[in-house]
Amino acid sequence: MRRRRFLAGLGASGLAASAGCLGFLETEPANREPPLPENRPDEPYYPTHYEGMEMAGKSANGRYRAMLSYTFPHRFWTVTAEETERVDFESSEDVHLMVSVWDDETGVALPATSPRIEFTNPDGENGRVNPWQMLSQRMGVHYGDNVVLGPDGDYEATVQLSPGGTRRTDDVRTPDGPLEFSFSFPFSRGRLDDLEYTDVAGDREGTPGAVDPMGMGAVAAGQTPPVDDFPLDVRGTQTAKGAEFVVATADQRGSLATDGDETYVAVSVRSKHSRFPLAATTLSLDAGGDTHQLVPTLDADLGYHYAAAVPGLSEGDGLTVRQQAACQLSRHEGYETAFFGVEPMEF
Amino acid sequence: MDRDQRGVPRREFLKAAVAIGGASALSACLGREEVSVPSGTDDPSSLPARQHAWNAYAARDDAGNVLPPRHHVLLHLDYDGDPADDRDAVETALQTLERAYEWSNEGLLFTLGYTPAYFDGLGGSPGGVDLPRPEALSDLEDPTLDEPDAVLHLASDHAQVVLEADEAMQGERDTANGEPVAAALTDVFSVTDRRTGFVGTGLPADNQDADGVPDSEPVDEDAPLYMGFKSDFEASQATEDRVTIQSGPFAGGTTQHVSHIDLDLRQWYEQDSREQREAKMFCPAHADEGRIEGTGENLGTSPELEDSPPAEQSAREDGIVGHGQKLTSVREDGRPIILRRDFDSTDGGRAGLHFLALQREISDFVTTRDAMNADDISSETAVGRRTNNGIRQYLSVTHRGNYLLPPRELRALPTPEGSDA
Repeated sequence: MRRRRFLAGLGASGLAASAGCLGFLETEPANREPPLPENRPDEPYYPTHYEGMEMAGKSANGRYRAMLSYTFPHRFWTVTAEETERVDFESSEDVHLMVSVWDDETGVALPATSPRIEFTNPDGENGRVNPWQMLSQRMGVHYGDNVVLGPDGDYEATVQLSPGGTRRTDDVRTPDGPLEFSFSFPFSRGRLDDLEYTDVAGDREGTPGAVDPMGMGAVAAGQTPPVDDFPLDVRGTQTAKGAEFVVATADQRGSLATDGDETYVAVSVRSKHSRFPLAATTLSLDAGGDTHQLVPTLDADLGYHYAAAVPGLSEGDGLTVRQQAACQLSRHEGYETAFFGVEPMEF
Repeated sequence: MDRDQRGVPRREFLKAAVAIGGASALSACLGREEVSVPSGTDDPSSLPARQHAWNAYAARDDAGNVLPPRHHVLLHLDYDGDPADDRDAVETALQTLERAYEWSNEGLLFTLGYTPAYFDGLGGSPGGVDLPRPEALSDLEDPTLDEPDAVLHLASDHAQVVLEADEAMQGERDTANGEPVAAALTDVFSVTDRRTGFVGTGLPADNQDADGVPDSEPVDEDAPLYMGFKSDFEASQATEDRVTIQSGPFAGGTTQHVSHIDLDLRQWYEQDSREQREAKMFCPAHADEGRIEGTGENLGTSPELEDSPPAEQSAREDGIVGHGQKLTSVREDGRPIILRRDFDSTDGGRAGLHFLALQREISDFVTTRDAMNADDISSETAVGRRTNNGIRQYLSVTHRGNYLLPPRELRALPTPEGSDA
C-alpha cells in the first residue's frame, strides 16, 4: 500500500494513548505514525509498520564505501544505560537520513564510523547533522536521524567519517582523520510519499520476531555469520532478551592472540532474528580465574564481534560472558525493548 | 565577517553589533548603552606583568567564581616587516588601549599572542616554550589550521568597549573612551580574520536564532552558554599560576589554544531529555541523584565530580560517561591544568564556540583533549567516539590555532630569543 492512502484512513486512532508492557503511559503525538503495540515484549518484536527506502547514492573512498539513503521520518529511541528515551519526529522534519558504511575489500560493514553529514539544498542553504548510531530491523546498524532537508530539487551532500574506531584482526592501517564521501541526489516529496508502506497485521504487531532486513549489499554486509556456518570452533550459543550470544575460539586470529599459550575467544552478540551485531555493548569474559575485557573487533569473516586473547585456556575450561552495559545503539521500533538486563552466561 | 547591516532590523542589529562590527555597529551601541566606562592608566608599570592576569580584575558570581567578560573579539593579524622597526608602534598602540580603558571587565582586558608561524618567520621557535604548530586532535576532525602571525583578544563586559577598541586598533578611530589613539595595530599588521562571541547570563538566549539551535528557542534566559549549563566553576579551572610559563625568556607568559567548534543543539535540546543532558555534561550519577538545578549554580564553586565513579567504570557498567567526569583524570592538586576562557559565537550565522584555553604548555591542552576524546574508553566499552561519550555527539571542531602570550614586557613583536634582537 502507498503510505499516503494508509495515512488518510488512519484517522483519530493515531492519536490514542497506549500503555506499553514497560508499565508507563506513552501518549501518541499528532504525528503520522500508528500507535505503538500494547504489551511489547522485552525482545525484538514485529513493529506496527515498515517502509521502503530511497537511495541518495553510493560513494567510494579507497577501500571504504558509504551509502546515503532516506525514508520517512520515524520515531526512535536513544539509549543511556538501561533507559530508553523516545524521540518523536517534528512536523518540520522531511526525512530520516541514513549513512551505512562498509569495507569493500573484506565485505564487512563498519558499525562505528561516527559520520558527519553536511548538505546543501536547492535554495543554497546548508544543513549539518552528526547522526545517531542506530539499529533498525530493515537497515541493521547504521547512522541516522530525522532532519529538515528543504524543497524539492537537487541536493549535494558530503559525509565525513572515521573508519578507525574499531580494532581489526588484520593489519590494515586505518586513516588518522576523517574520510570524505560526496553525493548528489534529487529529492522530492512525491517520491518519498510513493515509497512502499507495509502495515503489519494487527495480530502480528507487537509479537516476538522481526521483519526481514532489506535484501541489499550494505545491509547484508552488516549481518554476522549464522551459528552453523561460524568460522571458528563454536563453544556454545545462548539467547537472552532477543540477543544471541555465540562463543567461539581459535588458536589465534590474524594479528591477535599470537602468543603460543593464548586462545582467541570471540563472542558474536547479535539480534536473534537478523544477526545484526549489537555494537556499543560492554562485555567481559571470566576465564581461567581471570576477567578479560571483550574488545570490539572487526574481522573479514566474523564481522563485528567482541574478543579477548586468553592465556592458558584449556579445552574444558568454563567461560562466563557478562553483559556489563547493554547495547547503547539508538533503536528503531521493534528493538527498543530488547537486549536489556542480560544475566551472566556460562559456556 | 559581513559588516553590512543593511536590511537587518534595528533590534537584531544591536544584538549582533559585536558580530557585525565596524563604525555603524559601534555608533548604534553607543546610542543604546549609556555606560560610563572607567578609564585606564598612564603608568604601564602599574599593570600586571602577565598579559593573562585577568582573574584579579574580573567580576565574580555569588559563589565566588570568576565570571568571564561578556563580549569578545579575536583579530587575526599578519605581519611582514622587521620587528626592530615596528616594535615601538605596536607597544604604543597597546598602551593606547591601557590608557583608554581600566584593566578590568568593566574596562578592557586583552592579550596579544603569536603563532609558531610568526616565530618561524624570524628563524626560530620561542625559547623554552612548548608551542607546536596546530594539528587535528582527534580522528573525527579535520580542522582548518589557523596560522596568522598574531591574534589580538579583546574582552569586556561592554559590547561598545570591544567594538571601539577593535576600531581603534584597526585605525578607524581617533579616540578611544575619550583618549587620543596614538597608534593602531594596523600600522604594522594586516587583519586577516575577525571572530567574535559572548558568554554570560542571557546572551546565549538572546542569540539563539542561529543555525544549530532549533527554532523552539530552547536556550534558557539564565544560561551562560548555549548548552545551558554553567562551566566556569572555580574548581574546574586551573589557576593563572598553574598555566604560567616558569622559566626561560618567556617566563611569565602562557600558551593559548583557540579552537572553533560547531554546535549541533537540535539533538541536545529536542531529542535528549534533561536527565540525559545532565549525565552527558556532568556524570550519570549526578543525573540519577538530581544534583543539578537549572544551570548548575546550586553547585557553588565545584561540580563535585571527585566522588563520581571513575569514567572507565561508568563507561563499562553503564555505557555512558559524562564530559566533566572524563576530565577529572587530568587534575593536579584537584584542579585542571588548563584555564578556559571560552565563549559562544554566531560567526558565520552558526551557533558555535570559540574554545580558548590557556596552559603552561600546549601539551597540557593535548592531554586534556585526549581525556575528553577518551579513545581508550570508546575502543573497549559500550561508549562510542560520539555515542554517550560526554558531549562529543554535539561538537564538531572546525579550526585550531596555537599561540604564545608573552609576558607584557615582551608582547610587542618578540624575537624567538625573547629579547630585542
